[in-house]
Parts: sequence; structure tokens; C-alpha cells
Amino acid sequence: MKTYIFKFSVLIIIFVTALSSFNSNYDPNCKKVLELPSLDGSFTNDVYFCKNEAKESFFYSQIETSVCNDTLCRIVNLKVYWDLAGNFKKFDTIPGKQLTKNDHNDFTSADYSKLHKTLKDNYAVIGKKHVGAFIDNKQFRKSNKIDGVSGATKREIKEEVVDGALYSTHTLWKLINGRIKEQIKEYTHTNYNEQFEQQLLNSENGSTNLFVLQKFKDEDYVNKFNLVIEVMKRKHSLINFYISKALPETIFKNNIQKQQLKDIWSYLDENSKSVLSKKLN
Amino acid sequence: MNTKTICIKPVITFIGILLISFQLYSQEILIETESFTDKGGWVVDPQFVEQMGSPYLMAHGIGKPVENAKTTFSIHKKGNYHIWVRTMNWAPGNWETPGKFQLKIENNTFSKVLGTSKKWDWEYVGEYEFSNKKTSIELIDLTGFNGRCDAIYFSKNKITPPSKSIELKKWREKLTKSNKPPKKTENFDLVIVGGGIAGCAAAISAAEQGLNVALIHDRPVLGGNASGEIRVHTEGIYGYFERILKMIDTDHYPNGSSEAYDDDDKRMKNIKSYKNIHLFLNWRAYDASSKNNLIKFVDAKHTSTSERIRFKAPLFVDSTGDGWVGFWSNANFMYGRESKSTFNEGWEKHGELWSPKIADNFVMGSSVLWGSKEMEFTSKFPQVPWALEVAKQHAAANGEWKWEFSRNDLNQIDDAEQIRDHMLKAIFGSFYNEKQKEGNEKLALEWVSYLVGKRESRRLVGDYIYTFNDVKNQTKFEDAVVLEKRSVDVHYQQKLNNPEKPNFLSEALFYRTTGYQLPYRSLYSKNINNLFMAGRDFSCSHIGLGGPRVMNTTGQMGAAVGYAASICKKYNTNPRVVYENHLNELMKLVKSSSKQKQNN
Ligand SMILES: Cc1cc2nc3c(=O)[nH]c(=O)nc-3n(C[C@H](O)[C@H](O)[C@H](O)COP(=O)(O)OP(=O)(O)OC[C@H]3O[C@@H](n4cnc5c(N)ncnc54)[C@H](O)[C@@H]3O)c2cc1C
Repeated sequence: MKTYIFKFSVLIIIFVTALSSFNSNYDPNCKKVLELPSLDGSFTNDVYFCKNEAKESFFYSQIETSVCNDTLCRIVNLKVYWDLAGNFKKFDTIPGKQLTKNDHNDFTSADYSKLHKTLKDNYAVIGKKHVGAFIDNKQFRKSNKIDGVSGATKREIKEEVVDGALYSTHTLWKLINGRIKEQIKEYTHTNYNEQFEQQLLNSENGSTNLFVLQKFKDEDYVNKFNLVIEVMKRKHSLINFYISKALPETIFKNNIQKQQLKDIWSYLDENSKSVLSKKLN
Repeated sequence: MNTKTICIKPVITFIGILLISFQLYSQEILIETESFTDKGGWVVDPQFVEQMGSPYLMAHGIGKPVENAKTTFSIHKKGNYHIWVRTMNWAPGNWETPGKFQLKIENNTFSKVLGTSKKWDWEYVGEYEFSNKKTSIELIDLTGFNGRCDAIYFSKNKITPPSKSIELKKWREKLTKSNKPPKKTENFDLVIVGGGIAGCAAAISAAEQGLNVALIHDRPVLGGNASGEIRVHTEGIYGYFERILKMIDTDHYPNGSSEAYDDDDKRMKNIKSYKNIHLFLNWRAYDASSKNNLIKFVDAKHTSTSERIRFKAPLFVDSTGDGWVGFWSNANFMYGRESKSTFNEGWEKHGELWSPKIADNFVMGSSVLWGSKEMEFTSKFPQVPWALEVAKQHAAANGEWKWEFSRNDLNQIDDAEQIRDHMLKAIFGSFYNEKQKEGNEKLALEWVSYLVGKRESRRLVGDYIYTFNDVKNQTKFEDAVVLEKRSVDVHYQQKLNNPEKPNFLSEALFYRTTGYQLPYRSLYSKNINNLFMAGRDFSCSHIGLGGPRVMNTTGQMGAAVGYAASICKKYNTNPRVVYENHLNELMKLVKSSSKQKQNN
């Protein structure tokens, strides 16, 4: 009888799991377009592109990955979203698969915010080196837990890493900001259209704006100048500097457009101003 | 103090008095403060001569007023004189001027507080009745925060001297009788300008091959950025020149460490052991002249006495970092970040931060290194509102390489003083913020450099322009005289990417590599036929400079150039012909460098 009940419950679990995974993947607007292997190659995650006429289009993947230190591995799950330019947008936890730290405590909401901020930073220090480089050997305490290097992470990345989650942060950053970004960009590039362009320019993310600005020709700056001004108002120095250099001469022959630039002067950094003031005068 | 300094001091004093006495027959006198016989705690700053006109005295007391600077001079015509000082408030704003000082003549201190003009200009001090022919003058620092005084002018007429740089230059030259060529000329086989690691290495290899070498350097110690005055450790490999470079390199101390002093001693001792290296310390080259694409001479001036010498030679090395000799002699040069299509140097991963689509002047920035330490007793640090303008909320107890400033509209040469001052504000402000933290009561500033450490400015154009592609493709050169393995690293300002960051911190992007070579053809000028370059002013693109700008690599360039100069001398020819006709001989010399001996 016992075995019978056991078998039955296993069947139910399998059924429910299958149903839930079917539900999460089943969206008529989404289709699988890419694959994202975990860093050690043990898992392959599907990456979906979701097209939405009314709202924003995006990419997502329900990531399953191993996170390993020298001796141990565990599995981490997270649902991750990217925008059209391959920039990380956000993540959702998967019910029952909360992220944990080395002490087995769940991530707090502050921990999730910190992780989110780090994953969003294309130039996070955590992504630059091998994880070993962030362990302060002087303070290293051997641990039988993954991420078991609490108090031993180097000062340089303390701002970026949730205490007790060095390995998870490192793995997730590498995975999310790795080769997949280029692949997403490539996909968007191949399927580029007006709607994509609007969406890319409306993004709050400067690198996302840049993706489309790099495609701009002189006449695009002229024809879409109002949109360009909106981008400049977001005060992203790198992007504004790029635009300031790229604006064609015609803009500076048009008094209305010149005035538009003067009106947003307070939004600009010194570098952009240095380029524009020469052209405006 | 070594015996040489003891001998030199009275000579400098004598020349100083002599120069001042020159003007004393007239009714006006100009005293250059750098010629003061006793500088007290003030330092001579000759870094910005080309921009503001002269070396000047600066009260670099890191927050504590420094000892008075003093000198004596003679008045030919007694009587009443009007007095001006040329000075600048380096942090103007809605606060007390940080660098204030007063003037004292004989026993009278003028009440006028000086150092307040918004740009370099003359400030009127007052009048003084001279009743003695021999008289004394002092600068009294009031703050310890970088008050500066370029010159003091006395005149019977109340006519303010000119402010504008061209008129001022002419006025100054007339008054100091320096509008004619230097009276003294010295001849050498090779004249090297700039005694950083590159210049030192060039001097050694050329001297070992028997050349009579002049090494002109505007500081009292050798080493450039590697010296105890700036304190950057040397990185990179030795290539073919281990023996030579080990005489002048540094240990791998943390940047900013006082351990740099030990290596200064080593370097100086080794350079001085070569009898045919004629060392001109505290001499700054200020002009070079070329005719028919050949440099005829370089003129240099002592940074304290203003004594001048014309240096003649068949060959010159520009190892000034800023490419000054090339600039003066009309050598082709580049400045700025080339567009990624210029040399096809784009790197998609880092996009605009690596190599921009459209060229700009956002080069790698300059730094001022600094540090603090725990003292035995509580120490105070004054309020520095003028520094918080830059530092904002940032708090720090030490600097590091990331303390770096670049802006598209600031030229790393022309605006170097503004860049240095920006860094000083960043440092004093960040340290002030750090001091406010609990537990930091005993923390005190230990050292703040006043020399700006540069990474990138002019790059002189050679027969070959070294680019990122040579690293990526590991281009093999038949004239590969320099070898390197170091990553290419290119810096950008953190604020570009993250508005929350202060505007004086940078970040590096790395391109890792297993090794690359640099050709001899990027070490001599394309259009000036007797000019070599060694150091960060060698012939390369902005990204091409990313790897080889470190000092063991620039040292390799120097050593290679010194050998090439010896071949030029042997065949009475120029650097290009060495490549065209004597490359085997050059490569043999370069490759056997480690086996050669110091022969004098
Ligand atoms: C903060 C910082 C960190 C760095 N980190 C490293 C590092 O870790 N390792 C490394 O190897 N490199 C490092 N670099 C880079 C390196 O220091 C420079 O690229 C290097 O100094 C270039 O060498 P150079 O000989 O061309 O110039 P310099 O070292 O600048 O030497 C040139 C010298 O010429 C003198 N001079 C200039 N004009 C004249 C003139 N008209 N007459 C007489 N003398 C003149 C100058 O005073 C100067 O001392 C760093 C740089 C900075 C600023």
C-alpha cells in the first residue's frame, strides 16, 4: 500500500511539474530563439523572445545553473529577463527555489536588490576576474558550504556582492552578461524594425539607447531629434557625449533645434557641453 | 646632503644674486621667486612653464603653513617703489581662498593678503621706501594649501605689468635680458631630454657604446613617474635589456609608497657611474629648432637660477613624455582618441569606452598619488569647503592609480595645472570626509605629491604607428627591439558610466595577451630626421599606447634607441638609415645587451 501511495504521489508531482513548466513556457507571443548553457556546460537553458505589440518586447530564460566552489556544487534557479539590446532587465525568483546564502538563510529583499544592481552593472568588478581573485586569503576560512567565504571577500567587491553569496553572484553575472548579450543583440539586429527602435530609444538604460544610436545616420538625428532630446534628458554621460559628437551640422543650422539643445543644458555633463558649445557658437 | 649639493648651493645663490643685480640699475626689478636662495618650505614647481610662463614657488604644506621663503637683493636706486606679485587663487569660489600668503620686506609685513586673483595675474601689494641698498624679502605662507607666487615686481612707476601671456613673455624676456640665445653652448653626441625610465635607459645604452651624452631633466631626481616624487612602480618585462633596466627600475611596492626613495638612490648612483653621461638635473628644455628637417639645438633653462644653455648634437631623444622636443621642432604628432575606424581598433565588447566611433580628446587622464597614516596623537585637519566642491561626499584615506582625471575639453598638457589642482581638491576633500569618521582622530596626511603623473598626451609620429592590431595579431617585426607580455589596458572615467561616481576616479579595460613586439620604426620621427622618441610619446595610436606605456617597456624603448644612436654615430647617419642599412647590426647589439659590460 505504502509503495502504491508513493508511486501515486510521484506521478502527481511529475504531472504538476509538467503542467507548471508548460504554463510558464506557454505564451503564444513567446518563442524559443536561443540557448544559454551554464558555465560548466551541465545545463542548457532555453532563451525565449516575447513579442508584444502593446507592451515591450523582451527575452527571458528560466535559468538553471550549477554554482561551484573548489569542492562542492549546488543548483541555482532564476527567471531572467533581457531587453532588446541584450541588457539585463530584471529577474524573478522561482517559487520554492529562493536564493540562499552560505548559512542556508534565504536572500532578504535587500540582498535581492543588491544582486539586481550588480547584475545590471555591465562593468561590475565581479565580472572582471576569476572568482578566486576576490577571496582574501588572509581571512579565508575553509567552509563546507558553497559561498562559504563569509567575511573573506575582498573590499573591492564588498559593495557588489551579497555577503555569503560570492560564488552565486559571480556565476550569475558571468552567465547573464556573457556571450548571450551578443547573441541577443544579433537577433534584434536581424529582426530590426520601427517598433524595436522606438522601444530601444525609450529605454532608461543608456547602453540600450546606444545600441540604436549606433545605427543612426545623419538624417535620423534630424528626423528623430525630439526623441534624441528625450534620451539626452536622461543624463547618461556616455550617451550624451556620443550624441554630442554625432549630431550632424544641419542641427546647428536650425534655430529651433539649437534652442532645444540649449534648453537641456542643465542635463548635460562637461564633456558633452565641451563638444556642443563649440558647435552652437 | 651630498658633497655635490653643498658645492652647488653657493654657486646657485651667486648666480641668483647676479641675475637680480642685472636689473638693479633700472627703476624696476623683477625677482623670480624660484631663484630665492632659501626656499624654506616652499617648493619650486616648473611643470607648467609653457602655459603660465615660469617656474614658481608653491606652499605645498598639505594643510600646515610652510616655513618662509627668503632671499636678499640689492637696490641700486634707493627710494619709493610700488610692488606687485604674480599669483593665482587655484580654487576660487564662495569661501576663504585656500592658498593665501603675505609679503615681508626687511622687518615689515604687508597687511595685504595675497593669492586671490582668479587666474595667473599681478596683485598689487603696496609701496615701500627702500633706504638700504641691500635688502631682504620673504614669502609668508598663511594656509599650507598650495599658495603660489611666480614673481615679485618693484617699480618706481605705478604701472601694472602685462597680464596676457604673449606680452608678458616679451616683457619678462626684456627685463631679464633673456630674449637672445643662450650665451653658453655645449656639444654632445646625443642629447636626451627627459630623465624618466626611458631617458635613463637611453643614456646608459648610448654611454656604454661610447657616446658623449647629455641627459636633461627638469627635476632633482631621475625616474619620472617612477621617482620618489610621483611613486609609481615599474611594470612590464625587461625584454632584451634586463641588465640595463635593473639599474633603474623599482621594486613592486604599492603605488605611492615611500619605498620609491631607495630606488631613486640606486638609479642616481648607477647613472652617475657613467662618466660620459652628463647629467643636467633641474634643467628644463624650453625650445628646439629644426632646419631642413634636422634639429639643430635644444635650449634649456635652470629651473631655479634661470641660467640657460644651448645643447647641440647630431642626434636627439625626446623622452619628455609630452613630446616637447618633437613639438618644438615641428615633428608630426597625434593627440586624442582616434575613431575606431582610423586604425580599425574597435572592440565591440567595450564599445565607446574602448575606441569611439567619432574621434575625441578624451585620453587617459593624469593622477596625483597620496597617502595618510595613523599617528600617535590626535591630529586636526582644517575645513576645506573649496575641496568639497570636487570631492563631494567621497571619503578616502589613500590614493591609488584610479585617482585619475581626464575631460574632453581639458588638454593633458595645456591644462595640466588645472588637472593637478582638480586632483588636489579631490584629495584634500576626500581626506577631510574620511577624517570626520569616528575612529579617524589620529589619521593624518602623510604625503601628497604636487607633481602630476601623466599617462597620455602627445604621441610623435614615426615611420611605423603601433596599434592594437599589432597586439591582437601578434605582428612579427624584423626590427622588434621591444618585447612585452602585459595586457593592453585603457582607462575611462568612472562617471561616464555611473553618474553616482566622483569625477576623479577611473577604471581600466583589459585586453589580455600572451605577448607582442614593438618595431624600431616606431621609435624615430617620420619627418624630423635626427629625432628619436622613447617613452609614452613613441609612435602609436591611443589604444596602441595601452600596453607599452608602462615603464619597463618604455625603458626598453630607451635602451634600443641608445644603441641605434651609437650606430648612427658609427656611420654618421640618421635613425631611418639604421633601419634601412644597418638593421642586422642593431638587432645584434640589442640582443647581446645583457652580455655587454659597462665599459667605463
Ligand atoms: C598613477 C599612475 C599609475 C601608473 N601605473 C603604472 C604602473 O604601475 N607601472 C608602470 O610601469 N607604469 C604605470 N603608469 C604609466 C607610466 O608611469 C607612464 O606611462 C610612464 O611614466 C611613461 O614614461 P616616460 O619615461 O615616457 O615619462 P615620464 O615618466 O613622465 O618621464 C618623463 C620625464 O621628463 C621630464 N620632462 C618633461 N618635459 C621636460 C623638459 N622640457 N625638459 C626636461 N625634462 C622634462 C618630466 O619631468 C618627467 O620626469 C602609471 C601612470 C600613472 C600616472
